[in-house]
Amino acid sequence: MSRSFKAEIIYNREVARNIKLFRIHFLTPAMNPEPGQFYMLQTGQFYDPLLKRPFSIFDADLNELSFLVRETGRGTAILSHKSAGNIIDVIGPLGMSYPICQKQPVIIAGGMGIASLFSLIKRFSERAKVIYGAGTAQDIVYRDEIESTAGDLIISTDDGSAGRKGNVMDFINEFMNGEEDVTVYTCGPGVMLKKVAEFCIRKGIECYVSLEQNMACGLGSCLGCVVRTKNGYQRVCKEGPVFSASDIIWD
Amino acid sequence: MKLDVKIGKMQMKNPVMTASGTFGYGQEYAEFFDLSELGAINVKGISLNPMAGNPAPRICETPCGMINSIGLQNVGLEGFLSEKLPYLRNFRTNIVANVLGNTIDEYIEISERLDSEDIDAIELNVSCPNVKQGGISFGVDFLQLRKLLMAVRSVVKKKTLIVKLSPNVTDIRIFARTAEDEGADAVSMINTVMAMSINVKTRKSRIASMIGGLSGPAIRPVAVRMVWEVHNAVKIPIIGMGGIMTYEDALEFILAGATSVAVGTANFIDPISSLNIINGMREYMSINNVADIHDLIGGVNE
Repeated sequence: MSRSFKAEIIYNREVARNIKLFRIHFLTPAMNPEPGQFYMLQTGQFYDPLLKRPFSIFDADLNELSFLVRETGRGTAILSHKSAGNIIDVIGPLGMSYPICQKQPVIIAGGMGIASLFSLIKRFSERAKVIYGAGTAQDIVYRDEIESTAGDLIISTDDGSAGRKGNVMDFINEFMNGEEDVTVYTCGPGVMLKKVAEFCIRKGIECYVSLEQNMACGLGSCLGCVVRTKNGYQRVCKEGPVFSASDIIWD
Repeated sequence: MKLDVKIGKMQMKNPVMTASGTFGYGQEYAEFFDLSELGAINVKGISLNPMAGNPAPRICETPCGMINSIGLQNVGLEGFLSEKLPYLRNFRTNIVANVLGNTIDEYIEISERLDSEDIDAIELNVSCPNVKQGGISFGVDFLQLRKLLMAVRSVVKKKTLIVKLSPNVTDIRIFARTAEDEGADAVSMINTVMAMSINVKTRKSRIASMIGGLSGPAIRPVAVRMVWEVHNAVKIPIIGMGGIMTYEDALEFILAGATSVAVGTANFIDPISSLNIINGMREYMSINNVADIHDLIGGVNE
C-alpha cells in the first residue's frame, strides 16, 4: 500500500461561511489515518499552482476521506471549486498523530482548528470535553455532530452569535477541575495556541498542539516547514504537526 | 537501448540523478520506489559542522516555482558519514556528496575526507558565502572559484569532482571554463536563481531571510539556455537541471547538451517523478528509434 495515490472527488459542499467539506475516495488502496495526521492534495494542473497543499484529515471511513477547505489563496480556491468526479493526486497520511492519553481529554478548537480535532473528538467520543471557539455563528461547522459525540461542549463566538460570548481562553478553566488528570489537545490560530500552551505550561498540564507552516513536500525532505523547538528546528511535516506544547519555543 | 552515461569516473546506469537538497538523504523516498533505479543520488549539502538553518517561513510558492531559503540545514560531515551514508549504500546507485564551506580550508577538509570514503563523486556547492572574503560567494567571482578549485582538485584524487554553477552571473560560460581549466570532471547547472516575493498585505517578504533561491518550471528556459551556452564552451560533461518535471523536460536539457540531468523540485510534488522520467526517456527512445542516449546529447537542430 502506497502513501501516494489517486482519489476521486465525491462532493465538495459548503458547510459554513467560506468553508467547504471536501470528500474524496481512494482509487487505489491507501492507508488509514490517525487523528492529527494530514494529506498533501494536488490543486493545480500542469504545475500551476506547483506544490501540493497540506490539509488535516477531518474525517475518515472505509475508502473515504474528508477535509475542511477554506479559501485563503489560489490553491484552496481551485480546490474548493473542483467538482464531483475530478481526480487528484494525494499523498498521505503524513506526520505524527495526537497521542491518545488516558487522562481526561480537553479539546480546544479555534476556528479552522476543528479540521484537525474533529476526528479526535470522534475517537474520544463521550470522554471528550470540547471548547470550540469561532468568530461568529456562521463560522461553526458540524455543531450538531460535535454536540452529540462529545461528553461536554462549550461553543463560544467573539460576537456571541452562537454559544457563549468570548474566546476559548475565557472558558478554559471550566474543564480544568483536577488539572493534573487532564490532557489538552489544541489547534487553531497561532495567537490562541500560544495562549493555551502558556496556560497549560504554567499549570503543569500536559498539552499537545497541532501547528501549520508552508510546506513543499510534506515528506520531511525539503526542510521548508520548520518550527523552533527546544531540540532545535523541527519539521512540522515529520516530527509534527502535533507537538508537545512544552517543546515549542513560543515567541 | 543504451541509457548509461559517464560523468568523470562515475558510471551511471541512466542519466537521471536527484538534485542536492531535494531528496534529503534518500530515506523519505525509499517507501515510494526502489532507489537503485536512479543513476545517482545527490544528497543534501554537507558542511564541516552541523548547521541549524534559517528561521521560518523558509519557502513560498511563486508562479510555476518556489523560493527557498533553507539556510543549508544539515547534519554535518561526521553525521553524514556515520548516520546517512551507510543507509544510502543499501542501494545500487552512485552517491554524490554535495559539499559546502565558508572558507577554502573548509572545502579542503571536507573534500579530502570524502575522497577516501565510500562515495562516488563530490559536487562543490559554490553558492555559499566566502566568509573570509566578506561574504561574496565563490560561485559569482571566477577568480575566487579558480583559487578554490586549485586547492580542492589537489586533494580530490580518486573521486569525480563536479562544480555546481550559479546562474546569478553575467556570463556563466566563464565559470564553466574556469571549472574545466582547473580540472573539474563536470559541471552541474543551474543552481537556484536568486529571487524575492513580497506579501503586499503585510508588506513583508514571504520568506524570513528576505531573499532566496527560485526553482521549479519557472526557471527551466533559463537553465536550458545556459546549458546550451556552456555545451558550446567546454568539453567536460554537463549535469543539467532546473525545473525538470517530465521526461520531455529532461530531454530538452540533453538536447541542449547535458549528459546527465538532475530532478529537484519535482521530488517535492511527486515522490516518484525521477522514476517516471527514467521510464519516459526509455519509451521516447524506443518510439523514436534512438539506440543510445549519447545520440541525443547536444542534438538540438540549428
